[in-house]
Formats: sequence, structure tokens, C-alpha cells
Amino acid sequence: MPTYLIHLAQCNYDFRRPELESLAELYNINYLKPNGDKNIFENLETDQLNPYLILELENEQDAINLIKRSILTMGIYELYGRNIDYDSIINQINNQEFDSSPFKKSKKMEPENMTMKFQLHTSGARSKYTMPEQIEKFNKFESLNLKNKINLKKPDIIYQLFENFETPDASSPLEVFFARLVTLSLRSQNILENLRLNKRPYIGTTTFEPELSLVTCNLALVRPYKLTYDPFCGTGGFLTTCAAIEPASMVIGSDLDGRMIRGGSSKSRVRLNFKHYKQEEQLLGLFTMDFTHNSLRSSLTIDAIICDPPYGIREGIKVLGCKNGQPEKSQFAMKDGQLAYLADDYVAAKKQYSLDALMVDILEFADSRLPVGGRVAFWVPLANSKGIETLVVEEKGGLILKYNCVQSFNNWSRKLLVYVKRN
Amino acid sequence: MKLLTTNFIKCSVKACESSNKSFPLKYNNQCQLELNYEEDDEIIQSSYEFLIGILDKIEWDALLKVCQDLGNNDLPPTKPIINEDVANLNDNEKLIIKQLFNLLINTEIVEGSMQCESCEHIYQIKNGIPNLLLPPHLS
Repeated sequence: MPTYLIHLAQCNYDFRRPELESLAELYNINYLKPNGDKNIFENLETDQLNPYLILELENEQDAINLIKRSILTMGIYELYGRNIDYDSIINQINNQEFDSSPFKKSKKMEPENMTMKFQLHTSGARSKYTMPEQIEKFNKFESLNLKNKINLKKPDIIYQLFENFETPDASSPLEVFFARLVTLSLRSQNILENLRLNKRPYIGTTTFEPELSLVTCNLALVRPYKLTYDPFCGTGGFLTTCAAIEPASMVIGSDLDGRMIRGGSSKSRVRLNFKHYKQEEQLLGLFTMDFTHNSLRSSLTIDAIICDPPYGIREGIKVLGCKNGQPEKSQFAMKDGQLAYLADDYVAAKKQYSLDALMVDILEFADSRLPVGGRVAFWVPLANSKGIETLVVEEKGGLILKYNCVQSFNNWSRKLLVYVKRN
Repeated sequence: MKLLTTNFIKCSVKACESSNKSFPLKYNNQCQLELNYEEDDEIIQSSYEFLIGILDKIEWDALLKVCQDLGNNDLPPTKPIINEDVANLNDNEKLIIKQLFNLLINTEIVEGSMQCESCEHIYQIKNGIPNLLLPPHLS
């Protein structure tokens, strides 16, 4: 199997392993460590110094699939050599010490009519190389006898050099890599910039930030031509990122508070975001609805569920109902000569609800609607305002806890729980 | 709301769960529809697979009934079977897809109401968003 190098993003360490594992499951990709070990992503949470991950994949298409939708990596490269310096790599290639390298003399090289360029990336170092210093390094590869013409603007092939420094003031890199770019991740293609909150036509105080919202979509295995549902959609942040990460997915959303969906205008302002990103047809429906009194017909298969339920930091949890049980005569209350609850401007009564009860409701709903292998991903606070830790159930019906990742802020943290439906 | 979503929602009242009269809801024939007919073949073509994915989710009998409520009796009596191989669709299939796309995705119910035939509660649709909340005695 060919060897690949994944260039990781150095942030949200807790989420990197779940994301890569999820994408591998989504596209049915087999991966191995070069030594044959399957347990390859284990260090991604703890190893915050090394931004490189080396693995073997069956083919280039698998490499593209694994990384193209990824948010917590920069890109994937086919690895031709790794050593302490470039001369050693070039020697290795010339002596055919690399099994997977297309630079083996028996194998055909990239067609000569393709253009190429070299580029260099250093990690961990304090200062970058000047252009002449870089060119000196690139020129060492002359001995490989590449016949391709150089094109700096739009090359067909990008040869990438990586230098990994252990400390900012080390004089020489710990290790260098020589590789060819296979594909950049969505992150490197500017998706975070495009989805930045201040660029969206409509956001609210609780709209989820784009980066982890996109990661949530990946962890929930949002699929093309399948339906994703956000039962607490609010301003539609998750629906927007879900449609952006998989342009062939379909989304529906509901919220108890119709004002969030409409955003103070007469027409739905959530739809403005979908118009803005040209994904209108992906938004199948928006409802003003209480999740615990759900109107989605039970025979409708929902392929993924994503949400950030209100848990009282900014929005309290409410469901339909009255505070002190049933007020006896409310159903007969009259207004302007008709039953009050039939009036156009009737506001339904709502009561407080607890997070624990809501989590049970989400899991029971997911258990009854998800297909086998389908996932539900939702955020909860690590602890409530009194410091009591949120109870996490490992199993509920056919659901089993798959991931439990923490995001810390200054004075509070929240975690993403992902459950998968077993058969 | 897109006409398609009428195929997803039933009555919110828990007691109606077991009744087969709570889905689909009965749409008032005074509902105000908005049609954004898409004539651009290229957009529709890129949506073939998308629509086949949607067709998979549809309960055809319910769709027929809702269309009848709203005054459209032109749908075929059974769900059309469409070749999943989108590169080799025949002209008839392409036409069906185009019509369904316009019906399900490009037809909006902007204002109106719908009623559960089991508990008879009436739900309002305002500015294209259905309100499925319930008064206390039903929740």
C-alpha cells in the first residue's frame, strides 16, 4: 500500500482522532500504520508537537476521500521520503530504498507535459527561510532528473518539502519529508473564512462557531442525498454548515421559538443564509415546533441528528405546557369572540424543563429514527451552574456512546457527545 | 414551507400518534401557494440524484392526498420508479424528474392552515413557516 502523510491542523486536539476515524468510516477506508498497526490515530489527542501523521492507504482515491471534507487537517500528501536531511532522501530514492515511491526507476514518472512546482513548509521553527535559501533546497532535487516544466501559478503537481523542528531555536530540523500533494482539506480551501459568522446575513447570540460546527457535522456522518435534522436549529447555524460541508445533503430544522427562525422579519431569515451560500434547495423544511411534541412522522428515516440544545447559558430549556400543571379553563378562554388558542397571534404556554430529561428525549428520539450506523451528535455543558457534572449515559436502547470530546473555555467547558445506532 | 415538507409532518398531539388520520394533515384549499418554476435545465440536471434521494423518503399516498387538497390531481397514482443510473435516464424519466422537482422543491405554501383529521386541531402556516405548537390542554 502507498504511504501518505497527513498534515494536521494544530488545534482542537480532542477532536482530531474522532474526525479522521469518522471520515474513514464514512468512505469505508482501510488504513494502517507503516508497521502494520491499525491503531494509528491514538496519539492525536496528546501529541501536540508533531503535526504530521504517516499512514498507509489502499489508493489515492481513499486519500482524497479521507481528507477532502476534513476540518482539522491541512491536506494529504503521497510520501516519497523521510529522513534527517534532503541529501539522505535523494540518496534513498536513487538507491530505490523506498517501496512505495513512484521515483523507482522501473516505474513511469508523472507525464512530462504536466507542470510542477516545489514548496516548503516548516513547523516548530522560529523563523522561515528566505527565497534564495528555499531555492537552494529545491535545487538539490535536480539529481532526480524531473523533466516537468515549472509553473508557479497553476502547477499540475506540487512537490512539498516539510521540515519538522523540535524546538523554535533548534539549528536543524528533527526530520524532513519529501512528498507530493494529493488534496487539500476543506480547511485549507478557506471554508472557515467563508462561513465566518460576521459574513453571514443572519446570526444570533447563540449561533455556533463554524469550526467545531463543521467538525460536528463530520462526526455525525452527514451523507450526500441523506437527511440531517437539527431539533434546536435556532438561527440555523448547524443547518448552514451541514449543507456547506456536504453540498448534496438535505437538512430540516425546528425550534420551539419561531422568532429565532424568522429573525424579526416577516419571512424566515434562516433562509437568507441558505440563499447567500446558494444552497436553498438543500433546506427542505423549517418548523416552529416543540421537540418533545414532535410532528415528524415516525416512518420518516432521519439519517443524522445534530444539535446544540439550549442549556441555560444563554437560552433556558423550555417545552410546551404550563408551570403548575393544567390551568383548568385555558382551553375555553375566549378572545375577540373566538377560542383564544385558535387566534393568529396565540402564544403557546411554555414551562421549564431539565437538561437530563431533554437528553433522554433526544436519545429516545434518535434511537427510534436513525438507521443502523446512523449517528446523533449534540453538545452539553460539562457541569451546570452549581458545579454538578452533566450525567453522560453510555448506552440507551440501541444507541451506544461513541465519542465524548471536551472543548474548554476560560470559565466553563462543553462537550460533544456522539452516539451511534447499533443493529 | 416547501410542498415536500407536507410529507414529513403529522399532528403533534401525542394521543393522535396511533391514529392513521393524523398523517397527512388536511390542508385548507385556501392555502396560498408560491411557485418558483425552475426552467433552467442545467440546475435541474444537477439535481437528478438529489431528487432520487428525496423520492426515497416520500410516502406517495400522502403526497397524492395533499396535492388533491390543494387542487392538483395530475400526479400518477403510484410512485414513479426512476432508474438510479442518472447518466442513462430516458426523456420520459427526465420530464418526470423535472416536474417533481418543481412540485416538491419549488412550490411553497406561504400562508394557510392545516388540520388534523383525528383531533381536529388547526395549525397555521405563516410566512412560509408552519407553527406546530399546541395549546396547554393538548400538550
